[in-house]
Amino acid sequence: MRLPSFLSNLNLAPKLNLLLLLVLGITFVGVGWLTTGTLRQIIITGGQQRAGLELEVFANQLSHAEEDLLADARVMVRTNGLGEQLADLNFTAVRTALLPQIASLELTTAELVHADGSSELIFDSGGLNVALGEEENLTALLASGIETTTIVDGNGTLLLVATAPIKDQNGALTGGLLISQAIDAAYLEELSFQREDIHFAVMQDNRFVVQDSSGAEKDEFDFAIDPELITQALGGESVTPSDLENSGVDADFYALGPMEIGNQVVGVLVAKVEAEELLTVEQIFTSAILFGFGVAALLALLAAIFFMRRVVTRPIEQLKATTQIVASGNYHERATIRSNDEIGQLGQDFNKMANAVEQQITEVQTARDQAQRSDRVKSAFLANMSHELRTPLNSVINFTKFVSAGDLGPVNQQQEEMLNEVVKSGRHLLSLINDVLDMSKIEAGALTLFVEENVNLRAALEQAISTSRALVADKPVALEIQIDPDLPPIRGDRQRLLQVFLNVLSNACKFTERGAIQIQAQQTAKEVLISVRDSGPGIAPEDQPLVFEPFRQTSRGLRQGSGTGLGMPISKNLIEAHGGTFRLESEVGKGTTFYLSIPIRSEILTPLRLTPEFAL
Amino acid sequence: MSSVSAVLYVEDDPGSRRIMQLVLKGRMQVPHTYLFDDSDNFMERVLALEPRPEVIFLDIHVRPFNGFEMLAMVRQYPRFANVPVIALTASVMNEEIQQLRTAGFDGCLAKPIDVDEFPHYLARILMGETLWHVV
Repeated sequence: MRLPSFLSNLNLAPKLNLLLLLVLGITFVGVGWLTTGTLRQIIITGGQQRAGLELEVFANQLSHAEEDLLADARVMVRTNGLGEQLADLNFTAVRTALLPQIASLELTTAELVHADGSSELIFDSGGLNVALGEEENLTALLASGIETTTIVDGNGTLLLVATAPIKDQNGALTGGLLISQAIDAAYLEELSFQREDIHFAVMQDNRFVVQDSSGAEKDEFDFAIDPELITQALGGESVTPSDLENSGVDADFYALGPMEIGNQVVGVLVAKVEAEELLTVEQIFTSAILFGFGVAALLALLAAIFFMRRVVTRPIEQLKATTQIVASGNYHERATIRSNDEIGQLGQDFNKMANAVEQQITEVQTARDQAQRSDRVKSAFLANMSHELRTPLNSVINFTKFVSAGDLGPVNQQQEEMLNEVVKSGRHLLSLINDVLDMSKIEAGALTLFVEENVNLRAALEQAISTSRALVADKPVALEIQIDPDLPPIRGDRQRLLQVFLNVLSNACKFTERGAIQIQAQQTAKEVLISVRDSGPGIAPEDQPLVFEPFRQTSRGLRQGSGTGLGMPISKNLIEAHGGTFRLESEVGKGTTFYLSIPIRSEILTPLRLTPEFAL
Repeated sequence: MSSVSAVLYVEDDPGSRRIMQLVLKGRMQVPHTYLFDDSDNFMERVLALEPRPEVIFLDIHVRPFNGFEMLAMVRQYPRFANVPVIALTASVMNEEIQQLRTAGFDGCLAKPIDVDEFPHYLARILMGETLWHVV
């Protein structure tokens, strides 16, 4: 699994902290979800229980109201003489007897009914103008002589009615009293003790016929109830729906139960508990838990950051610093990590590695110092040797020359010839010494060029040519010279370039018995190209690589004698030290051509600067 | 042969001294050929030379004062300001050549010297040419 680059580029501690944050985040979400779920469940259950309780209260209240009304009716009927007065249809007398009692109670209506069916409304506080006495079931009840209660729809208002039969002295039924209490919004409001969050309502025929006034104001009963629940309630059960009607802030709890009046179910009671408060409590609770969790998580994170810093970041940074110190050249530095965990072990392993590196470095430095000492010794040796070998040769060559030339007295021809041979040998010895010293310098990397800016190649070539003429003076060999008159002055070591030209030309002259040696020099944009072609015997392909190898001579060269086998390798080195190239082309029987190229302004050469370094 | 009349050569190797003598006195017939075999009291001896040398050849590895030190001493005297001082050396390491140039020598010849060419070199030196004929 590959992390996106911005994550994998974070440091270790932030990575781990991010992981912790992730874990805490998931836990937080989980806890939050559980909390809300559990709390919600608790609240729902609580709300439902509350609704159920309120329904009971409602039913009880109504039941008490029913009993009270019946009791009132009974009490009123016990007034003496009502039976006879009613028999005489003396409604006025009855009214007079009852009104004071009626007035003291908060009745809605009161009606007298005569056994023959006529009735008179003796009290009507609500202006309902009902004629309860003409209700069939009521007259039936009265006729039965039983005290009863019932619910009646009186011109749109729900009335709780109590009937009490009136009998004369003989116990004969003369009529009855009907008193009613309106079950209206205000009444229900009172039944709910005027609480803001509790609402009562009554349903008949699957619709709400009355609700408490505060409920009506807030449209609390503006919803549909599952008909099955209503059926259950009518069947005598109290039911509380298990899901909330609506979710969210407007969710409420309600309970349904049968409305029993006069031992009959005449409707459905609905009690509703506003859940807003409860949900607010839920929200506060949830917020509190989450807040608490958040604080704890933050503290945990801080602790983790702090811990991470101490256990992970700091040791790693220390190790990093140590690594950098060692990498910058202080090989003696070691890591000091005290823990035994992976980082501590890494530190120990690093130290082991540093030990190995330090040891290697020391060995290498020792070897290098030795090599440098050795080089110095070699250079000193070469300088010394150079001096020691040449000084006696000075005497050998020059004394012999003087004698041979006759400066010290006449010499005969034989003597002169022999002495000249001595000089020649001496010169050969000198050139051998020069070549060997040059080769030693090259191999010690100690060959330095005496670089000047305006070396005249043409002059050097001409000088080399004129020296070489002597070598072909007695041979049928022509020197054909084609040197570009406009050869530019170049940057280089004049002496060494002359040395190269002499070497190449003397080679050509030595190996060419007849024919011509062509010397060409021309310039290009950045270089001077020189070629020397001879009509000598040529060099076989297998011999060609030997030409540039020190101390190797071709078989022919060995036969021809003289020559150190070093001239060509030294020349190649000198030309390459100038940044140029030196190669040959040859065919057996056709001759050999040497090609040189020398940069005009080579960048690898630094011209000598004349600074007064030597203290005078 | 040439028009020089006084030459000084400081050299500790007897062979080299003899050769220079043969060239200067024998062949070139320079009237005053001064040869020092060491550099003891160098400057005193130089000042005592009469006529004073027109050109001075110094072998580098001479004692007690080497070629560089002798050059420095000579240059302190205005009368020798225009006298060419040439180094003679048998060791031809280029670092030494650089040092010779830097020190202010007017030229350098390598040993063994070419006795046949020497007169020409001398003529050129006296004409003011700085000659760095190494090898």
